[in-house]
Amino acid sequence: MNQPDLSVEIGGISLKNPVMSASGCYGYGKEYGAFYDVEKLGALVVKGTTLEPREGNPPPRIVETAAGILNSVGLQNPGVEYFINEEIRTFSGSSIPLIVNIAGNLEEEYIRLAEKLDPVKEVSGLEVNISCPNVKKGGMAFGTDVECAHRLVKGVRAVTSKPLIVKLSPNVTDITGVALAAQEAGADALSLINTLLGMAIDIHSRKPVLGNVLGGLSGPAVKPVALRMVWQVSEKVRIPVVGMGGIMTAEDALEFIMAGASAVAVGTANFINPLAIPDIIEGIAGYMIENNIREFKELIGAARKGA
Amino acid sequence: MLFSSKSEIVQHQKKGPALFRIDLHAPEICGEARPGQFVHLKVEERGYHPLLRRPFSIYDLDRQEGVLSITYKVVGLGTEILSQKRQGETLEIMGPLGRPFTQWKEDQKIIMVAGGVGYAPLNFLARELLGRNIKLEVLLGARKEEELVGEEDLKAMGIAPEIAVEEGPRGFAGRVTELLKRKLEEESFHRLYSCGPCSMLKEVTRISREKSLKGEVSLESIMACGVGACLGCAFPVNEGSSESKLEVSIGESSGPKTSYQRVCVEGPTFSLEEVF
Ligand SMILES: Cc1cc2nc3c(=O)[nH]c(=O)nc-3n(C[C@H](O)[C@H](O)[C@H](O)COP(=O)(O)OP(=O)(O)OC[C@H]3O[C@@H](n4cnc5c(N)ncnc54)[C@H](O)[C@@H]3O)c2cc1C
Ligand SMILES: Cc1cc2nc3c(=O)[nH]c(=O)nc-3n(C[C@H](O)[C@H](O)[C@H](O)COP(=O)(O)O)c2cc1C
Ligand code: FES
Repeated sequence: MNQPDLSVEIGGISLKNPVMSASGCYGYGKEYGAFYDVEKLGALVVKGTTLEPREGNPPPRIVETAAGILNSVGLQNPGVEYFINEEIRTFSGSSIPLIVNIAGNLEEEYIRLAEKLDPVKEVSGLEVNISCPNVKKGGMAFGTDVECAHRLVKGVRAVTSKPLIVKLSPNVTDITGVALAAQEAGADALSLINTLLGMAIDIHSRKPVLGNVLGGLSGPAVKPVALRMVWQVSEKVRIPVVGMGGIMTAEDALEFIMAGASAVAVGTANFINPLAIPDIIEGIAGYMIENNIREFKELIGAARKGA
Repeated sequence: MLFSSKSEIVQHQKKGPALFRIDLHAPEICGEARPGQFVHLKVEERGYHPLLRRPFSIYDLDRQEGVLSITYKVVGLGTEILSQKRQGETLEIMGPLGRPFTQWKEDQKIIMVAGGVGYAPLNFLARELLGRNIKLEVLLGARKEEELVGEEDLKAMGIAPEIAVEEGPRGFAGRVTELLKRKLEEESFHRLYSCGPCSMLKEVTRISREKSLKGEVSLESIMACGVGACLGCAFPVNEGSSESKLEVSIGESSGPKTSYQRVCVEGPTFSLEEVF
């Protein structure tokens, strides 16, 4: 059998394969470029970008938990101006879609960010992070309130023609409500899940471990929850879903795809295996060859048939 | 160039109650590694407990044989699992990572201060400095005698380190920083290099500043990626002392203006002006 066709389209963005980097776990792509050609990715999603530079939260910012990590990095980034003036150059020769994750405290900040990024030709799409648990104000509030989410996405939609992927928070009672609100407001795709809010305490110092007290849980520990949410959301929405949360292997990725995700993103796994993304792409192709599947699209929602 | 591969354990020796030295066959990493750099090891191959890799300084290397050595102390699950690995088994290793110690051509007389297993990155540096015929003095400190690291290896290089053991009975009965203070009253050096617990490094930095002695320290931080992608290892670094573009100043802190830098990329070595 020839190389299988792994291509897929996410809200108007064509990907040669369905595996992208998860925001905040892959820098601007340079770091893993030291291990392999980043052009192998389906798409590059860069870290959370805000209007103004952010210093991030005080250390410690990472603590390991059972099969997962809690992080409280807190959107440390040099700001959108710096991104456009300095970082963007490195992508001019790139052939893979570049997706910029945007975040803020206020609705206006998201709108200004989208306005600023709209004319930047290197940017293929925006991932609107309405779900960051590491910023005190706003951030997650947008992702947990149906009306807020609707208004925010509508506002961003009005100022950009770039494809919008709305990133959902798992820290809600019913994720499908926010998913539907985002779709109705004009989202081209959804991505989920962001990290689950959590914490850890050091019993010797009798203090929370993270400098920021609370952090976001990611890694294998969150996979069953993420998978369930992808399953529930894909049942309800018409737009494509990008699944993530604890994907370590091609098998994990295939579970998300069979649950209804059209593509997947890989975050924490990169820290453990710097070659995680190319390994997962290869693994998906291998599975397709083994099972005589010519087109990747046949696998999307495969577990839903009859469900 | 960074490498990520499986490497075979050539030798694994117990050096003290909780101290081990492990020698790994990693020729690619050996080819490029410089003193002060570290490797990121995966101690658990199958499961997810622990999930993350563990960073260790390069203690020594034999370029001809392609063998890289690490000296480590068992402090928790990861190092405990590591300590049970046998010769002939393999480990996933990533490296070389981080910014090496800067070496200055004009330096002729150098002092090193190590706290416990903090001696690890200094051993490789000592070997290079001695190869350049630099006069080197080393102060080794620990709380207990059995926690001292490096004495044997230094002696093999022809260096007799001065020892400070807080709980005695060997050497100077007190902190290694007290020994440093006394030393600097008597003698002057072109440079200082230091690694050890954070509280010790703080004191070393303070003492060196008083004496206008320049140098570098190697810091530790909890790490996830080890390559600069996650921003998890951030440490507040004094502004105006580095050129990194990533810096975003941290507001509202008293004292010198600082910005968070990645210990895994901008460090783990930092100049004495940059830290604390
Ligand atoms: C650049 C760098 C180089 C290092 N070089 C060496 C070395 O040459 N030899 C050596 O013995 N150790 C070294 N360390 C420290 C070593 O990485 C930790 O001791 C190790 O990760 C602990 O793993 P564990 O699973 O055994 O402990 P855990 O169960 O994870 O933790 C046990 C205790 O150690 C603390 N700890 C965990 N990780 C770190 C860390 N990265 N830095 C400081 N404290 C930590 C925890 O807070 C906890 O109190 C280095 C660390 C860094 C960042
Ligand atoms: C260190 C770290 C930083 C992150 N930063 C961001 C961010 O800036 N924006 C965002 O939308 N998600 C961020 N995330 C969430 C991830 O993109 C992803 O949604 C989550 O980690 C689940 O996937 P994983 O288990 O594969 O890591 C971050 C996650 C981690 C671990
Ligand atoms: S450990 Fe990830 S940036 Fe340093």
